[in-house]
Amino acid sequence: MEFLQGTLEVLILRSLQVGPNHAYGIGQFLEQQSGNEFVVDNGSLYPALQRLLQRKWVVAQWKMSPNGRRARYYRMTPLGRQQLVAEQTKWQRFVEAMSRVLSPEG
Amino acid sequence: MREWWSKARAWMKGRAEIDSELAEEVRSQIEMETEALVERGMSAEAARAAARRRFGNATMVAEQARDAWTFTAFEALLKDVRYGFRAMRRSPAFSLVVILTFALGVGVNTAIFSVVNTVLLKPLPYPASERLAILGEADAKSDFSVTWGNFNYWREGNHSFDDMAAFQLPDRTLTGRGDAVTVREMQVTSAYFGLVGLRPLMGRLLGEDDDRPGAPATIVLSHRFWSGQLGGDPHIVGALLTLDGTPFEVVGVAAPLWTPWRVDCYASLGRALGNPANRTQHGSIRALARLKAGVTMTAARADLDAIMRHLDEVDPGTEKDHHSFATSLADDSVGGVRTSMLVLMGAAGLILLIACANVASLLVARNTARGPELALRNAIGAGQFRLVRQLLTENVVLALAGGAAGIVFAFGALRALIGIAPTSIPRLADTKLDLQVLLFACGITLAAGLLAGLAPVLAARRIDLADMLKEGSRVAGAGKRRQAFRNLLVVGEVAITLVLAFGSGLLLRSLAAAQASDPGFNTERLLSFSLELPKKAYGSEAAVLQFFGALTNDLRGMPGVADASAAHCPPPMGDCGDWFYSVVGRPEPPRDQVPLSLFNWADPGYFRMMGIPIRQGREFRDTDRADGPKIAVINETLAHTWWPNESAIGHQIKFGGPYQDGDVLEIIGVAGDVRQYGRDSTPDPEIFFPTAELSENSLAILVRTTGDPAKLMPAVRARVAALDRNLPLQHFQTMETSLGTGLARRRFSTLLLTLFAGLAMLLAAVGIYGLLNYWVTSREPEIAVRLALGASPARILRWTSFHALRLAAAGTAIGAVGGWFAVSLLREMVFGIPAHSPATLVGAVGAVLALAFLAAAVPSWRAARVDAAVRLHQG
Repeated sequence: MEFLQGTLEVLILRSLQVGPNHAYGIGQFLEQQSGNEFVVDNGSLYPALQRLLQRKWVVAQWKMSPNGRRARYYRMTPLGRQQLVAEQTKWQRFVEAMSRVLSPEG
Repeated sequence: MREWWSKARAWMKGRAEIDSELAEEVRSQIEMETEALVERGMSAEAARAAARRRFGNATMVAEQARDAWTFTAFEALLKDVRYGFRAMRRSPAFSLVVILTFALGVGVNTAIFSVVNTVLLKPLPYPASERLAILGEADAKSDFSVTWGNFNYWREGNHSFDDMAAFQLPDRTLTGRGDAVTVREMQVTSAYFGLVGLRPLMGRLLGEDDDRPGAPATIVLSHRFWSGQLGGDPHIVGALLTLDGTPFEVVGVAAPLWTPWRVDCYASLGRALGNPANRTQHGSIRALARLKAGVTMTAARADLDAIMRHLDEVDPGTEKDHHSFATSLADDSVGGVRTSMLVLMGAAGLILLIACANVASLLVARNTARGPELALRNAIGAGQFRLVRQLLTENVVLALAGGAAGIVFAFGALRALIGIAPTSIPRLADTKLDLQVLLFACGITLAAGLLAGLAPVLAARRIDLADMLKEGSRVAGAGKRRQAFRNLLVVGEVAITLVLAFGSGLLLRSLAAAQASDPGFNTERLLSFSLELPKKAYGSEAAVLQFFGALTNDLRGMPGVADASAAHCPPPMGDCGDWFYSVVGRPEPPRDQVPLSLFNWADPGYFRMMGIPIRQGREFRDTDRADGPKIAVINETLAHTWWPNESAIGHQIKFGGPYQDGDVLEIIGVAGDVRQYGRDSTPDPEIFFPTAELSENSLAILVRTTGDPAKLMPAVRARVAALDRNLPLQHFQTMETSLGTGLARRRFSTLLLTLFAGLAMLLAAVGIYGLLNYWVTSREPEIAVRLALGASPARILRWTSFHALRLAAAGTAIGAVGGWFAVSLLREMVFGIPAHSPATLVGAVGAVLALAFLAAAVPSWRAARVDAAVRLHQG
């Protein structure tokens, strides 16, 4: 399943809520959490991360991974957290509205 | 915004860092995935390959991620600009022609705009100058001075003005400092200085105390006069200067400031005039006033008119039916030059259009030649939009190079312009290429670049690029459409050229007509100068007449002098005073319809000496004395107005009209008309009195010499000094010089417009030449076939020249129609011929067609010499 336009950024923020992670980890997280419904395309993931960096919603830092490999870790900023909350509310309402319209009556 | 800022920082930091970071990140992810797969039991090699496969195209991912950081549009623009410069270097001849064409167009426009901007557009250098107004009185026919009495009522009674000052500009004679000189005194009320924001450089200006009658005699010097005539004397404040024999104390020197009037010194008007005795005495006072913010000129005039009506009720008299006159100071000070400035600006704009058309035509030709290259670029992935943008950028780069050259050109042109321009154009000397002008130059450069660039680009869009690739350099169907477009451009520029040629033809003929016009008197070997006798030394009319009589007698006896005579206002001095008159025995005109006539005084024998024919009756004689009957000589215009079919002799006119005091005069002679305002003027009605009745202190002396008049000038000057060494000779010139000076503005605008027409012709010729040259090249195969089939070279010659002439004819036809309507704008600059002059139009058409023929000659010649055998073998 493809991501809807503009949703990938929110999902990345959501994945970082549990703690800093690298691009590979973020991709894994999203695939697992969606029950393998989402396939994370690196061609979308990487530019999305760059955009988040530009907006200062995340910051990046090179760190050692648990198995001793250098990886670039992304961490959510307070600004990113505010954004996530706002987006979550918006999506919740959107999803409810969608399903109300789409679900059979009664 | 935040995003943009991060991008800008990243852009400055450089791309390398982002690139290497992304590459490492991608590498690290692939390794992590490889490890994960190995843990699941894959071999190291197979795991690495699978991880790579799963990741996708690593280069592309990195590139896409990086693109998030770049200003894609901006960087593409830079790339296009670089490409544009490369293209410029590849074809230097083409680039040079385009850059020169742009430079010419932009340069001419920038130079003219800088003048128009300074002279017409820039606000005058005074506080709230847009609210400054010049006030006077007017009746139904004309405007004139405000009386000192009325001015004071206006100043006290109005509700529309912040402040109001009265002024007049008499000439005075300064003595006691070397040779006597004439100085222009500006008599003002003290409010004047505040209105124009004038400040003292030394000492003080005049204040309200100086406005009172009986105040001490004080003057303030203008900066120009102080620094020039008085050599910047640092101890001038407190010194005494003698003006017309009265010592004035210099109380200050004003800071430098441009004013519409040439002023040498400022003196108190209130002191000079005293308390207003009545409100009917007209002198030459005008008022300068600043409107209150938000008050319109119309409302202010209504306010003053209400005061005038009220005054007429309480103090009825000759001021009845006079109302207020008001015009903005800016309009007042540029009045005469506005039309010619706007015409020149328009002409310059047309030149820029022609330049654009030429460049557009060249670009179309070049883009055609570049068709295969464009097609290839399109084929390997550049979108149509990308190609259009690139072509446009290239053109704008060329235009900018041309614009830069144009600004350099304008710099030189402006200096030349100021050099040859008559000094009477206000503020011209202050013209500079300032920021506003440079912005204008940039603006028109960009506009011209886009305009010239857009047309060929739009044409290029329609090229079927695939066809182009297949066909190589052979141009077939698409070429035809582009050729038609270039034809259209040439037709357009020929049309514009014709309009300019027609306009300049009209001005040239007007100038010729003005120079050849009969001034109404004999201008040969004639000297003239004016003398103003100070009232202090020449208190009585008898003393004045005695002096002038002695002087003319003296001059007549000089060797080299054929005759000498005096008049108050000889041509081309213009209007030295006009006044109402009426004809006795004719119905009385209503109060606001009383006719006006110039008035003048002339010596016995003046008309004979000047060579002005006496049409009826006689001229003045020595026996016409002040105590004799009141007589007058009138000019032909006046005589024709009232007695078109009979002799005017013996009829009477009442000087001052029915409502003013004045003598009844008997007409004893009718003199031929003279061009009183200069060679390019038309005569006004004029009434002459004998000098025996002179009521002024000044006369002009005219001296007819036997040889070169200029050589006699020192001797004449010495003769005047022998009688009174404190008299400066004003306007001392030969008649030819002063008549020539009067045409300076006409000569200037004619020269410029002719120059512009010449430029237009040059550009149009280049355009026609380029077009036809290209046409011949693209038709060489066809020409070769025709020749092979038996056409003679002469026939080919006719064929190609006919093609050029057909375009030129279409252009001139359109231009003739356009020009016929456009010359209405020139009407007030045309003299001696009708503005809609068919002969001039025919001449202009002939010139433009001849030019087209010449421009077409070389390419046509080339066409006729195509070697059929060689060309056909090339296939």
